[in-house]
Amino acid sequence: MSFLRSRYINVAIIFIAAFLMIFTYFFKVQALSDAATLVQTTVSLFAAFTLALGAMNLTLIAYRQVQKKAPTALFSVLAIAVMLMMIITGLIPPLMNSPQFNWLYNNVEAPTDSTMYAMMVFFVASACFRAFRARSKEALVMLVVGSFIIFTYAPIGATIWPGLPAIGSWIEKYPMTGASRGFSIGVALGGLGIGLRILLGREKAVTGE
Amino acid sequence: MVDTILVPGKTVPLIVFLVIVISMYLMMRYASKGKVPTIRTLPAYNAITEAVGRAVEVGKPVHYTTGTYTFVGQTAGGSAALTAGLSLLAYISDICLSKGATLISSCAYPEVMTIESEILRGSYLKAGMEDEYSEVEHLRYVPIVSSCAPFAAGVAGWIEREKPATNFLLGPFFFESLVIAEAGYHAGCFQVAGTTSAGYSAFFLACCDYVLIGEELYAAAALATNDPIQAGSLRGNDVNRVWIIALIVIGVVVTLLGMKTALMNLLSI
Amino acid sequence: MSESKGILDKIENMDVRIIYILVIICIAIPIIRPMGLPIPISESTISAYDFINKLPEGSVVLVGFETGAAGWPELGPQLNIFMQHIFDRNLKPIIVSGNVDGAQLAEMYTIPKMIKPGKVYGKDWVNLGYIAGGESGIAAFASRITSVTPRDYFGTPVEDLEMMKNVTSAADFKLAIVCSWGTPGHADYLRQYTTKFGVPLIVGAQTTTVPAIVPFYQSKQVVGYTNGLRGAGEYEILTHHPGYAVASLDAASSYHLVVFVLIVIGNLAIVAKRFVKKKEGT
Repeated sequence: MSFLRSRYINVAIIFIAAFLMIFTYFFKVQALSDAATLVQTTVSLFAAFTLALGAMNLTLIAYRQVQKKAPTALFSVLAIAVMLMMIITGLIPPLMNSPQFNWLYNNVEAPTDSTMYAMMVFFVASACFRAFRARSKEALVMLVVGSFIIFTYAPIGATIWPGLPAIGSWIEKYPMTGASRGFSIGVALGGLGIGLRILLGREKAVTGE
Repeated sequence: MVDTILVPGKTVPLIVFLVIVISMYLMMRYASKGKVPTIRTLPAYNAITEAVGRAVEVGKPVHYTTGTYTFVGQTAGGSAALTAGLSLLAYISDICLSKGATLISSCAYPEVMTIESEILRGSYLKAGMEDEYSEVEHLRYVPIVSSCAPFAAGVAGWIEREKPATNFLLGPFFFESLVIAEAGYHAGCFQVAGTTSAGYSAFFLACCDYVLIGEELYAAAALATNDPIQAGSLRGNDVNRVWIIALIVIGVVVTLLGMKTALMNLLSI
Repeated sequence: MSESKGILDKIENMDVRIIYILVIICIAIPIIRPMGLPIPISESTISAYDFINKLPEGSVVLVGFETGAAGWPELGPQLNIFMQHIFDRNLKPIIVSGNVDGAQLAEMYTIPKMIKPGKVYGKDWVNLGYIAGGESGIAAFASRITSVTPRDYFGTPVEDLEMMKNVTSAADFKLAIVCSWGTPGHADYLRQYTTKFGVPLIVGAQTTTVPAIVPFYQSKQVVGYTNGLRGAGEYEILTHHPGYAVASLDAASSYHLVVFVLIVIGNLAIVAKRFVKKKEGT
């Protein structure tokens, strides 16, 4: 089985899959388009399997924590118990729509998920208080521009002075868009470089070497 | 025959793609033959050694995370940033082992955890300390399924409890960036962060001591691996930027001359 | 002098709990007692609204519920109002999601509220459920719908759905709408639907991703976008269905105001400290 871990096999698979995707983007050859769709569907299947892999991994780690008698072993057991509860209630017909599953989702999953996202409100406020300090000329420019953008996105800006959202929209439309374009182009080129290195088998991080 | 197999409207994109890829490949080839370009100093990269040294002084661990991304079924941009993050993990792990600091990495996907485990095991092997590596102690798996919230909560909670001396956040991030960085700030961590997303870089700039913005993450990965091919691809990026700027200038001039429609027709061949 | 410097230090390094309490108060008051501030409508929201208004009745529209429960407070109102407008215009939406609970959120929170009487599932709208694989899954879906979603969310084969009889790939979509908290996002939809198949795209954006969307809007690859909760409020006003988003905008305004006031206070403390230092120096 060690030949499956061979670097050459990995690189060959990556190269063939990437070549199919790139070729079918520019050229229409039915056989290759069908092969590309097959590869995409296979990736979709792999992604679905990684959900099961995640569950197995979590169980294995919880087992190791309990075996080691780690201080957080109880929480690991709790995590597995909650996971099993969601799986079992999800399997009760109608699938993933039973009253029990919906209760767990509406009263446990959704509020806890939303709470973490909502905490951003507080963190943004404290981060803004810390970060927007005019200690230098560049920081002063950032402060002024940031203030205009704050009042462009808040409906109260237009009530305070109509010029606030007007200036903020101009900043968003021209300087910010220009910077964003440059940023995106740079990141895309960097990503293309990494992609090319992966294709040529010169990127070791992907295979864990 | 070319007309029938070429997708309509993709001729110019194909030419641009070939020019970009060939330039990048040539620059990588020149670099592999010894013409390695010099990369300018990145303050955030230089701060990595200082950050690890701080952890050794204080006697607390170093925390590392590449965020909530994976290679399976994700976008190319995030996967590229994840690759850069993993390269930097190898580099930082080597520094930690050479200075005697403990590195603990948090990851959100089992397949990324596998790669990180291989990287850390390799570092320990290189340092002759293979027996001291333990996946249970050095890797934390904080799973996510539908959102980053569990990962953010798990990592932020761990940072608040354990108070690591240093916090590295290098890779593709979403909203967990602010939660983790803010937790690190309040725990008194020295924080070095880097991501390729413009929106989430702003969160790092507000909370972290040093930040790698956008492409600087790739440059730092090239510096970390000391790989001439990576340095060559950075030079390739710069060369391609010249082509793109030239295209932009041509577009602006053509539009000002009132020939925008002709240009649009040419681009849609 | 050193006393005033101490106070200024305390202001400059204000305890975060004070900031959090101020934020809670400033968000709670407008929710309990709304102010009814006027809401100007952005050009990008009007573009999105006009585009949907101009689509012929019966057009098939792809709606990407690319969010989980975490992103629902910001993206849910946008998705709800888009779906309401789509049903008002008698368009035919196909709901998909690259997030495991996106399609479920559509069934639990959107459809029960937004569905019009007389609309029949399978004829007027379909939910094709979760597409695994991120962008690869979307690409496969765009090329051939049944390659990754042979059955809908409820397990019915796609061929048995009346609406899907003549819809086999993204080439049959007249519009794609995506509201995403992360991935798959607007970039994935742009690459796989707009660039490959020429499907126009409307984005319901999180505020943090708007800078990345504006370049595509200016180059007309994105025909319109809504900016977070504010965009949802604007769209509710345009469609004459004021709801949750409009009600939340007063709180959003007061939050922005308190953040601005805190920033000003912090900077005034720095300026005052410099002044005090100078005076102490002389």
